[in-house]
Amino acid sequence: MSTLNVGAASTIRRPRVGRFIKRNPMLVLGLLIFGSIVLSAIFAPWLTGDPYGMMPSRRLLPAGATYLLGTDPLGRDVFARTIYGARVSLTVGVCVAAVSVVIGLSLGLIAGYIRRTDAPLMRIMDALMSVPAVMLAIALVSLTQASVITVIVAITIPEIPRVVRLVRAVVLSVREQPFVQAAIAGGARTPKVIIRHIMPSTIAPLIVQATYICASAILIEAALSFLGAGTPPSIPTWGNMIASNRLYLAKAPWTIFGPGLELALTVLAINLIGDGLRDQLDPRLARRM
Amino acid sequence: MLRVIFSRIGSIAIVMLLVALMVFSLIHMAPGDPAAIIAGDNASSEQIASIRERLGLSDPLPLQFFRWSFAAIRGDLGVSIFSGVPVFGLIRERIEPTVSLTAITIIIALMIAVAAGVLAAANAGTWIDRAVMALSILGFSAPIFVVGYVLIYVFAIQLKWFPVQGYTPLGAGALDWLRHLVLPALSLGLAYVALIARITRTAMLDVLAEDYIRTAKAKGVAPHRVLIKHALRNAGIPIVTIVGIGVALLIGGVVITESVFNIPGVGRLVVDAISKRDYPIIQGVTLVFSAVYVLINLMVDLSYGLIDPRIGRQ
Repeated sequence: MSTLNVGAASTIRRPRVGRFIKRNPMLVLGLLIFGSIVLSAIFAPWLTGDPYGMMPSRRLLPAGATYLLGTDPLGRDVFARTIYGARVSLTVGVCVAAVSVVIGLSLGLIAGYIRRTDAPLMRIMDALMSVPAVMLAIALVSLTQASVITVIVAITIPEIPRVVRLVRAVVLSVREQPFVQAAIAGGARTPKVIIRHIMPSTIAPLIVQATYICASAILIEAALSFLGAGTPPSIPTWGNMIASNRLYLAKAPWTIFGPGLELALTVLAINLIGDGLRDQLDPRLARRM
Repeated sequence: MLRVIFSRIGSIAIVMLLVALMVFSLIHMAPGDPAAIIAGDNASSEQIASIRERLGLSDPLPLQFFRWSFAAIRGDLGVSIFSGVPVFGLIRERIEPTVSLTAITIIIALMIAVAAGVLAAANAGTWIDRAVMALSILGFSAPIFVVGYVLIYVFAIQLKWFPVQGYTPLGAGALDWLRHLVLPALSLGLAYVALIARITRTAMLDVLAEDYIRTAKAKGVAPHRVLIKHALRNAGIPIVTIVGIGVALLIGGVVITESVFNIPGVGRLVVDAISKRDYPIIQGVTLVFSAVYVLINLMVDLSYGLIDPRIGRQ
C-alpha cells in the first residue's frame, strides 16, 4: 500500500515540478541562487579555509587554486571571508524582515481599524519616512555601540512605515467587505474581527513585502559596514571587506569584486523571489508590473 | 488651490516637527550622559560639567527641545565637536558638490528611465519589454559602492576615460566638472533609474488601455505622437510622484557615492563624522536632508495641478 502511494505521488509530482519551473523560471532561479548562498553560509567551515588567519607572507596573492579569490592586504583568504560574510548579511536581512513585519502588521491593523489612532500613527510614519533610511541608520548606529543587534534595530526602524502603510491600505479596503460587516453585526469582538477576519488578507502582500525588505536590509547593512557605521571591522562582512580593501582596487580588484559580486547576487536572488511570489500571489498586479 | 497649498503646508509642519523631535531625541536615546558623549572619551569631569552648563543640558527636556528647534529654524544647527566650527557653515561649504551630483543624477536618470519605461510599455510583452524589466531588477540589486568600484576599475583605471576620484568645482570649468561627475552619477542613479522605469512602464500601460488612446489611434494620429502627447502626459502623476519619493533613495545614496568617489560633499561630511563621533554634524545633516526630502515632495504635490489641470480646479 505504502509503496503504491509513493509511486503514484512521484509520477504526479514530476510533471507538476516541471510545469512550475516553466511557469516561474525567475522564481526558481532566485530560489536556487538564494538556497546555495544560505547553504554555503551554514556549511562554510567545511567548504573553505580560515577567514580570520593573517599571513604577511601571502599578502595580495592573485586568484588561484589554493585561494579561489586570492588574499587581501593582510594576507587573509578572500574566498573564505566572502563565504563567511553571508552569515551576517543573511542574519540581518531575515531578522529585519521578520521584526519589521511583526511590528508593522500590529501598527497597521491598529491604524486601519481604530479610526482615532489613524491620523497620529500615520503622521509619525510620515515623519519616519522623511528621514532617508541610510541617514537614520547611521545616526542610530553611531550613537550606540557597533554590534549586529544595533545594526538590526537601526535598519528595522526605517522599514516599519512601509509595512504599516501597506497593511493599513489592505485593512481600509477589507473592513467594508460584507463578510467583515457580517462578523461585526454578529457581535464579534474587535480583536477577533481584526485577527480572524481582517489579518488573513494582509498575509499575501506581506510575504512579498518581507522579501523586498530583506533585500533592502542586506543592501543597507553592507552600506553601513562600508561607511564604518556597521558591525566591527574584525567581523567578515561584505561591506567591511570592500571598505578595508578599497585602496587596493587597482592592484587587487578581486578583493573588492569577490564580496561585491556575492552581495549583488544575494540581493538579486531575493528580488527575483519577491517578484516571483508577487506574480503567484497577486495575479492582478502581476500582469501590470 | 490656495486652500490645498495651506493644508499641505500645515501637515508638513507637523511632519517636520516630528522629524525634529526624532533627531533631537537621538542623542538622548544613546546610553549615557549626552554631555559626556559630546565631550569625548578623554574629557575630565570639569570639562563635562562645563559642556552641560554651556549647552543647558540640565534644563528640562521640552525646554531643551524648543531651544534646539528654534535655533535650527534660524539656521543654527550647533557646533561640530571635533573642529568647533558651526555645522551650518560646514554644510554650506560642502553643498556645491552634493547639489551638482544629485542634479546631474536626476537629469541623467530621468532621461534614461522615462525613455526605457515608455519603450517597454509601447512594446509590452516583447523582448524589449522583458529586457527593460530584467535590467531594472539588476538595477535594484546592484549596491552603489560595488557598481562604483566596477565603473572606476573599468572606465578610470583600465580605459582611463574618466578621472578615478575627486571633484572640480563648476567655477573651474564645466567640462572638467562634468567629467568628474559622470561615473558617480551613473552609480548613484542606477537604482533610481530602475525605480522610475518600472513605474513609467506601469503608468503607461494603464493609460494606453484607455478609450481615448484607441480613438487617437483610430483617427490616424502618428504612433509616437499618441505615445508622447496623449499617453505620457497623462501618465505624468505617478511618474512625478515616484521621482519625489525616490529622492530619499538618492539622499541616502549620496553618502555612499561621495565616499566611493572621494567627493568633498555633505555626504562625506557625515561619513567623516561617524568615526569621530561628531554627533552635532550627524544630527544637523539628518535634519537638513529630511527637510529637503519633505520640501521636494511638497513641490511634487503642488505640481499635480500643472500636470493635470482638473486637479487644481476642484
